[in-house]
Amino acid sequence: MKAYRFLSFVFLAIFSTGVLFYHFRQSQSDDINLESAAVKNIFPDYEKISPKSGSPAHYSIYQSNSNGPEGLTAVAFNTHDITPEIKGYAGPVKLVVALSTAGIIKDVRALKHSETPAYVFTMDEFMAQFKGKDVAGTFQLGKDIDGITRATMTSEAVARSIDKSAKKIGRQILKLDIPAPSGDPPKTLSYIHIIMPLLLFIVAIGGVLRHNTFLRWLALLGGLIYLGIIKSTMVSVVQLVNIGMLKLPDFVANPLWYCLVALTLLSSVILGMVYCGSICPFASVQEILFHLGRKLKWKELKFSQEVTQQARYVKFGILCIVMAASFMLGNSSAANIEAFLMLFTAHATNVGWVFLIFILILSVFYFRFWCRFLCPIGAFNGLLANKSIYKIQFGPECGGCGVCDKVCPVGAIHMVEDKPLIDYPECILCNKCIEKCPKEILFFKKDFHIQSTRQRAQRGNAR
Amino acid sequence: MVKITAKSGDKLLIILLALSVLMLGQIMKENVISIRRAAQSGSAKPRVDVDKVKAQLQQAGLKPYEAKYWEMMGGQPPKD
Repeated sequence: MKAYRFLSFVFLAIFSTGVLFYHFRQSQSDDINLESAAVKNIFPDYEKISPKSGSPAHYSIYQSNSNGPEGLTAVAFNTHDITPEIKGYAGPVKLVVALSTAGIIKDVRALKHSETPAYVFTMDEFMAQFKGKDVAGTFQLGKDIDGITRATMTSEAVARSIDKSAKKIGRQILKLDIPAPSGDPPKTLSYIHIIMPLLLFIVAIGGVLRHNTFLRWLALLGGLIYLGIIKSTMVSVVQLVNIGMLKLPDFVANPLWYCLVALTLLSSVILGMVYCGSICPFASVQEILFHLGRKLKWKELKFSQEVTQQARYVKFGILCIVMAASFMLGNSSAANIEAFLMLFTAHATNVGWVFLIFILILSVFYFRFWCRFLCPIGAFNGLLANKSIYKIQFGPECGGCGVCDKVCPVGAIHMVEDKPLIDYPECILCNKCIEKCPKEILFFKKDFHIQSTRQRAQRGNAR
Repeated sequence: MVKITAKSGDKLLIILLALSVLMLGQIMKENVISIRRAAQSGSAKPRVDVDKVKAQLQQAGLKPYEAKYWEMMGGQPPKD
């Protein structure tokens, strides 16, 4: 328990230092430098590029040394300067757009964005579609432009911001005859994206509190189908880093993001690892594979308790390293290492695919290998669960038979001086211990006065 | 002298974890390289300015396949 307290402290220290480092280091000049580098990259043969000026702010690109309007061949601008209100899945998507004086888009370059890389693998190909388009035309997704598969929000944000900002530059700077826009389509809140995660959590919590395996599996399969297959959205360490960087999506456009994050945090603080134990789509894939292995009577891998207890700290190390790297680079994409994102987005590098297959094969022989040793977001949820208000606790009548230790599938219970101790950051609330306890003395109990399990065991001993 | 007492199963776990961490490290390295490259070039991937290449070819009086630009892009020669 002392180890988990120390890990919580290390996590908090890295997270808060990272947040401070990121927000203090970010300066306007960084963006300007990136912008001017991108503009020079688009127009390498044009020597005369004016500094950013005007309203809306833009760069003027001249073919000759003349500064007059006759020498002007193109303008370039940052879409975020003109349409800061348009956000992608994880905050603003900053693009540099180059526009010829005739109103033809010459190039589009991504300057900065925090979209999950697994979803926007084909971002460059997507943006290349805008090249050669007339700003007076439409940029409707699915009609004029093909969106990025499984990244509709990002695609929409890019298309809308280019459309709106290019039209504005065309009208106001290039004095082109472009009809005034009819205004943004009204935003509508999709209630299904609030109801579905709520339902999943209600079923999962019901399963935890009523010790009902059917409800737990219902939530797991619901999570797999809805979050994994249909929405390709999971709680990930990328989201955690984006929260620290204050790169948040628009609530109306993406209520699922908010609901999933809020419900996961809330349930972890109140009950423990409800999301990891009963909702995570990758967890259900691993559990299905594990049970398949048992059905086929393949040999299960067994490791000693001492080594597994040490090995599970690896995931906390991974959490700290990916967070520190993301904050230092100022981009949450560095944290995009999670196997479940590769599986459900079907995008990964060669190493990523090898890693995913490796983890899936291991899942057949060992219960939740990824969750127990490697998952960084599971490590974070575990630290929250360690301080949860309600916890599974033992009654004073516990005789120390050790049945709970034997049935716990994740090795979260171990015996110390004939008393069972629960490592709450590892407990996935599967309720196997409660079901199998011969004395039926395991139950959920309020734990406002946080004490170590060792202290509780000692208190039990004294009784 | 350090005495190794881990059982063979535990050695396997250590090997599996080491492999996993190595692969995760490689994935993270690729992510970091991608971020740094995007920051330096203004785009996530190296790009070929097709218009510029076409103009240069036209100026030199060459047909596209004579320039062997497909070699630069790691592709196969175009079929006639």
